[in-house]
Amino acid sequence: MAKSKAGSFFRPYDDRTQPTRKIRGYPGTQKRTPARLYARVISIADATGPRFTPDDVAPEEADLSREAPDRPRALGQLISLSGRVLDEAGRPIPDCLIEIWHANSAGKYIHHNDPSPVPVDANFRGRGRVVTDAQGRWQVRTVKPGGYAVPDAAPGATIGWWRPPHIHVSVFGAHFAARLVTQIFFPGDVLNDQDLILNAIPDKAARARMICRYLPHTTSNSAEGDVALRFAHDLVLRGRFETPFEKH
Amino acid sequence: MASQRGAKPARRRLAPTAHQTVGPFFPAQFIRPTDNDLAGLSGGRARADGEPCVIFGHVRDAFDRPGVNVILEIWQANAAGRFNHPRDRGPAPLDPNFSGWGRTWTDRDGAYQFITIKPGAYRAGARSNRWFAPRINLTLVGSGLMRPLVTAIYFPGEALNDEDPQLAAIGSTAARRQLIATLDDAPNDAHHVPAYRFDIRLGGKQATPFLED
Repeated sequence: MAKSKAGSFFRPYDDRTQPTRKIRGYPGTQKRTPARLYARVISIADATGPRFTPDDVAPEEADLSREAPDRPRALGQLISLSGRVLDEAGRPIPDCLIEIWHANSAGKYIHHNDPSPVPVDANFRGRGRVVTDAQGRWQVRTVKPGGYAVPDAAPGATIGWWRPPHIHVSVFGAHFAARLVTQIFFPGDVLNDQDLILNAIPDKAARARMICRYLPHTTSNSAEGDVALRFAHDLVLRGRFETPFEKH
Repeated sequence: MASQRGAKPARRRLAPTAHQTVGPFFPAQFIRPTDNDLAGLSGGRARADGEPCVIFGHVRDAFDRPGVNVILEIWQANAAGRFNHPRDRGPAPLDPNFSGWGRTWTDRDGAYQFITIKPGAYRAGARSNRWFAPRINLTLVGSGLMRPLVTAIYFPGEALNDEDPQLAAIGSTAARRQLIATLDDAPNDAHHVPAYRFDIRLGGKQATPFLED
């Protein structure tokens, strides 16, 4: 397990709250999962990691719904998604680089790997980057992604399924061991309960934490011309101790 | 929630958010062309101190097929053994031209390459005499990987390899050997620096030793 003599800089993940590595019906997981893992010795190499600042991103990167502030918006439901990045003790993590990407409102990614015949949207930026502020807060604007059919791996195969609308996020936290790559799902979607990827997380409460919250609107709809439907989502990164690695 | 009025709220531990696969659609724009050159050999910025080297190899899956579109991220100490982070309070000097972080992804053959500086050995703590051998920490994410895979790349011929706490914890000699890159004597690219081959197998009996995450 991930422990060091210095104490517990971070604890091993609770496997019930993390997805299984292999998923029946998702062949890629069978090809790419090692049979076993080896004991990890935690050191200063895990307790340190790359650092980012707000200067590393441009303000327009927080708006995935259009290519630039003076360009038209992509089609779809305009949403705002905001939240905080916290550690396990609930402390905010500032200066986290968050990379975000997702499918357009019809369920098509801007990516050469996406073979889907679903239409592209020339105005959709589809990717964004933000850095958390001193309180660990972040916010993006985008259009709500569509669900999409996962193609069958072979002709006649019956292993495909529909992915629910989801937003991919990649987070660089305060150290290398806090690296998080995950997805955010939407409340009330009928596809959530049958998604092989979301439901690879055994613990029900942990699955529920993957779904963002709808925020009832609190301001006048006429305050601005392009009101977004608001959602909130906090991300919790591993780690909480400030244990220095000097007790070895 | 049943919390008593006026009672001081108990400090609750929050569970870390669950990982999910990065999937096949990570935006290419997020990986800049120089992100795999930590040494600054490609130009555009100052060179880092130390011995530049190429780390290259192929990622393959359990069935020996190319590991296409796998994202590799590395994190390492500089040539003096210092990590570019405030938590490293060691006496070794920082190098303003070395961030210690890099990222790349595999091509259609599963091939990848980093250009970096051979890292220095580092001590377990500022007042410790326990040493970790020079190594490059590696995290892989990709389609089919539901959680990141974590391991480390070691260098051949390092005396400290025999005492390195992580290599010692691996146990099996054969598995330890898989984590040590091999010096490649074939001519490599235009940089004319030593090239170390580190091939990665994601599954099967020959899988690279990955560490508990």
